[in-house]
Amino acid sequence: MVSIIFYLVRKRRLREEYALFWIGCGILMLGVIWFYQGLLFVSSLIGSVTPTTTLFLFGFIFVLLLCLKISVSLSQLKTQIKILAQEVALLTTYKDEHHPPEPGDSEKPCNKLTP
Amino acid sequence: MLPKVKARYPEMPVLVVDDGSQDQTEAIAQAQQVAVVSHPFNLGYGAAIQTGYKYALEKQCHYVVQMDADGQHEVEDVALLVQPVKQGFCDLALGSRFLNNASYRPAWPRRVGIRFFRGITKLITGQPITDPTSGFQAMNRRVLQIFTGRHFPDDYPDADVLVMLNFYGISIQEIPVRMYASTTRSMHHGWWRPFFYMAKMCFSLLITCSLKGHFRRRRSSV
Repeated sequence: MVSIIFYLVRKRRLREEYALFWIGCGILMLGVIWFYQGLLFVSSLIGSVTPTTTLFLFGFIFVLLLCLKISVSLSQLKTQIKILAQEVALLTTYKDEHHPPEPGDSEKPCNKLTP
Repeated sequence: MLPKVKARYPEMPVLVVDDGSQDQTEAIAQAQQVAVVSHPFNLGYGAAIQTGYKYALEKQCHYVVQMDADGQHEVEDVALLVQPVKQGFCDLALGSRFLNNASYRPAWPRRVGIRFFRGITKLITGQPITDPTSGFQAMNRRVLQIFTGRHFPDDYPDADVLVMLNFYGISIQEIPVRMYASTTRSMHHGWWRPFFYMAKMCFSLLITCSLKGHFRRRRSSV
């Protein structure tokens, strides 16, 4: 797990702050196993028969909340990208209005992404 | 369509919004000597018309007419829409294909959906709106200010936007216009889409209603 995170960060596919979060998660999991007595105690508190149920329950809640958080971030990013793209498009138009491209100029405004 | 608009209303500045299309939209519009805004990639119908509104607001336009570019709308009808807005009878004039026009008859599932949302809109605003999805409308600056805000949807503005305008105290008037079948293929495909759209619309209306107080408080600022 740690080596995968290291690999991803080295390739710049994962930002450092997120990497720290995931490494922290891993350490937390190790800690839970280390303090097995604590896990048994929590199990008896919530009334589950086996400690695995406790682990799965909390794991599930955690993943659910994480997904929600990622959805929120994604929505925010989408909105920001939309506003940015609109702004870029409008600015390109304003620019062309002030300095219209020469008729002989074959260079197109480079705001189109090639597929 | 562009030459028609230019010939009929030579005094009006025209803006074409190209929502990241791969065809020659940009070149065609530029050849007609009209302003073009090209999105770098596809952002959605709502985002595209919002870009147009942002442009109009920046350019200090007092009135804006929005048309779909696929030849659905009759260029002659632009004057019909602008008139009530210009004379101050309403802030937004909606071109409706259902008023005084029985020629357009959509398939029954769609009709049920239209009826349903028409009922809800009337219930909330007290005003019957026959064609809330109309892409043919004229508006003044008050509406522009609301439409360029963050509560305007990226996909398809529908009854929720009209309800929002109602909360803002915007007066809406529907004008019967002629509409032709779109020359491009329909955007709604897949059997689940209508259901998804209905659910999404209900949810949007719910959210809009929950923001009623928010919109009411901002009435004076637009």
